Amino acid sequence: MSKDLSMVEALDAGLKATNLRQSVIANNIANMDTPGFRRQDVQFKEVLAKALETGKTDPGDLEPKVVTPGDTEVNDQGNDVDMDMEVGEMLKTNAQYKMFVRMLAKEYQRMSEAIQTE
Amino acid sequence: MGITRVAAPIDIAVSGLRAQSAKLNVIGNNIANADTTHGPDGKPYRRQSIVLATGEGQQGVRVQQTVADNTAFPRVYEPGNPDADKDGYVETPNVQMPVEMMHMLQASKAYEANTAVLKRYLDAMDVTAELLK
Amino acid sequence: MAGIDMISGISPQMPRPSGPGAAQGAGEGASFDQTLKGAMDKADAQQQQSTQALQDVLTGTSGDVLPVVSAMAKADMSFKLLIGVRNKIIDAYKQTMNMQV
Repeated sequence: MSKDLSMVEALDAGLKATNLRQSVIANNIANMDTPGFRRQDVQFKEVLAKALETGKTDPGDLEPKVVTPGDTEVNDQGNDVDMDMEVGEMLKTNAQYKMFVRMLAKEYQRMSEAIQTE
Repeated sequence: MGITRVAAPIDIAVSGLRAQSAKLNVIGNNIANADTTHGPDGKPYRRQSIVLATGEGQQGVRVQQTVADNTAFPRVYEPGNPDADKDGYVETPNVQMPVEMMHMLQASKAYEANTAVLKRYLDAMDVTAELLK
Repeated sequence: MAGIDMISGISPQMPRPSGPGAAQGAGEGASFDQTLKGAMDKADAQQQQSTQALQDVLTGTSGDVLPVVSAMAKADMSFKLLIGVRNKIIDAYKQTMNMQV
């Protein structure tokens, strides 16, 4: 049994995930020279896909997770942050976040248009 | 990771800027003293470096400590130098310019990256505020 | 779908014209209803398409945001059309009401 999300619910979920990801990527960049630091990321696609499958799509259940992939090579300081890659991810997440915000703004605008009758 | 505050990326990026600035300061000091064979303690300048660690609550970064580089002072044959020993050798600072330049470049790039994070995040916050229009 | 719900609340309240002009009036009323329903269905379908496209992006089924943006743009147009139709119907209703002495 699966349940789909409404537009606003979907956008809220997307915003939660990208918002958290911005913090996580910022932290990776700040710690690119910290000995022993492993990069982290946010897992959400799988969380959402699973929730849709099982029908448990209360907004409260859709929590993005911070994970430590551990699949990147470490340097001699035990640090695996690749600056260029991380900056790329930061730009991507930033763009996604702004896209979702604008989509949400459009939804709210639609709703207010529906209320007006002139 | 308890990142729930709205302005967290700002704090994190700023901590990164401060850490890299501290690094640049120390590197600058190393470079400035690359030829100081006779410091206040009568010894050659000993190279320093900064060790970083994650900040409180695993967020951001901080300067953990400044450590001295314990590699041996290179000995250069300079009999005319007032600091020369009886064999005519002078102990020089264990600072190697190419190494310091490389570190300076790395720290500069890291500083830039943190600046980019800050700029982009502030931009995102502006767009978010549009929701309130 | 709050917007759509608000609109559908209007149709049941449109009065059926009675008396001599009833036949012609009923004909006009029917086409208004049909137009409105058609516009509502279209807007609803487009909206669902946008939501599905967005959901696909969020679950990783699709990697591209372009389908979402284009679906949203279409949904936006359908919705504006729907609002236009609704507003015209309301105008026509008001004019009809003003005609009665």
